[in-house]
Amino acid sequence: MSGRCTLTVKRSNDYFVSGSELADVMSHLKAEKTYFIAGTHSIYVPKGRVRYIDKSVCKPWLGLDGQYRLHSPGEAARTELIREWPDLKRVGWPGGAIKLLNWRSPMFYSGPHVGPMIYIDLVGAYSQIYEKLFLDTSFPRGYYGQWALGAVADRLKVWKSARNALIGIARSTEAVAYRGTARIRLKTKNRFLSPGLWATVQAILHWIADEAIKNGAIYANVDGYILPTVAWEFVENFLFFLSDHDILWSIRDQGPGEIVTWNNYRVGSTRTQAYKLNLTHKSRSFTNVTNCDGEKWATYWRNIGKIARANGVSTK
Amino acid sequence: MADDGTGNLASQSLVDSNIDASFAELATVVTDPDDLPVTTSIRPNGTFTDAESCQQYLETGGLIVTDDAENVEPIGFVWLFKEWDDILEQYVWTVYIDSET
Repeated sequence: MSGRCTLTVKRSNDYFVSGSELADVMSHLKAEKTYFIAGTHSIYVPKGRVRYIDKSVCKPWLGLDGQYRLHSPGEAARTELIREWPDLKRVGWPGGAIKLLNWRSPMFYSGPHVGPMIYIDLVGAYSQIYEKLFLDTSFPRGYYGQWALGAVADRLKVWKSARNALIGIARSTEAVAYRGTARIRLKTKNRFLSPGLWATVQAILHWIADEAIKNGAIYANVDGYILPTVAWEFVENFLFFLSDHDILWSIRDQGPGEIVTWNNYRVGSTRTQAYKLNLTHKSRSFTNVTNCDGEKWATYWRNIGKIARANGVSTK
Repeated sequence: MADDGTGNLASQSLVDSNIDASFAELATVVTDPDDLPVTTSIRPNGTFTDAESCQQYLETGGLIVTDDAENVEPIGFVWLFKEWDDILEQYVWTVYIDSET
């Protein structure tokens, strides 16, 4: 197998390979029916304790041993959590709170649309929310906790993928393993699992998405919102809402647009892969955006901003 | 004076006492930390400013039940510690749970 890959960096049992080489490794392991655990950008083979990591997503990061070495985004996020709380055994929550992991990111699609549009997205959406929260934030709208995330967010802010990975760690409960063509779901131990944090971040994103829809958004996905610009006052209203609540945003693109279906659109020069491929399949309109307790979430957002600033977290 | 949500104006003290009463339905409220039980297993577990959020939190964790008449019944060993928060400039209620119960 190593003969098929150009190994560029080696550290103990870690091999940093290109994305295509990683795919080759996976094909080979499946063909050989070798048991392995697949990560987002890595493969771990328990036999021989070998790990293959896609080097294209890695960056040098300060390890817990004080040495810089290549880290994947998830590894860097986990490293910072461990650096901050080395002795943390588990976050802890009341029994039923595990259901909070069922929260999903906001998604809204109102059907095909052609016309001038603007694509607004939040700047570092996950991190600008969780930097004001605690690893043990209680849901809904719980203030204070034992483990403030501000310092971890600050260290991760230089690397977008790593700061986004943190919120994935907060909800990660399983991994996927393969043996040949058999797919095996593994329950994992995750001491940073935090249903309350995950649900709070998602609820805040739902509150913002709901406000976008009230202001005429025709498409929303997680932290991105597409609005028609023919009614510019609605766009202004939404931007005013964001600015008024100290939510950092940017205009990703604007201009002539076409929404063909979910994940198939262009706005100005921004085009999704499905749009470039000229795919024509159309999905029905749908939404999972909840609009309950908007005012309470608005108050909560203002208050956690106050608390974060009082604790020295830069929220800009 | 403050709007009590029904279109009438209520005094601030009445609004405050309503909030107090709502929290008092959920668990025993104490304002002096010395009144919290002294056990090794008691721990703070979420701080809230409104009783509805606190109730949802306790319900999710199975620490209270709500019957058909919308009365809430505390389960287990839960206290609420009420204190003034200088940052929020309002009272906050911190849930204390005895994890051994």
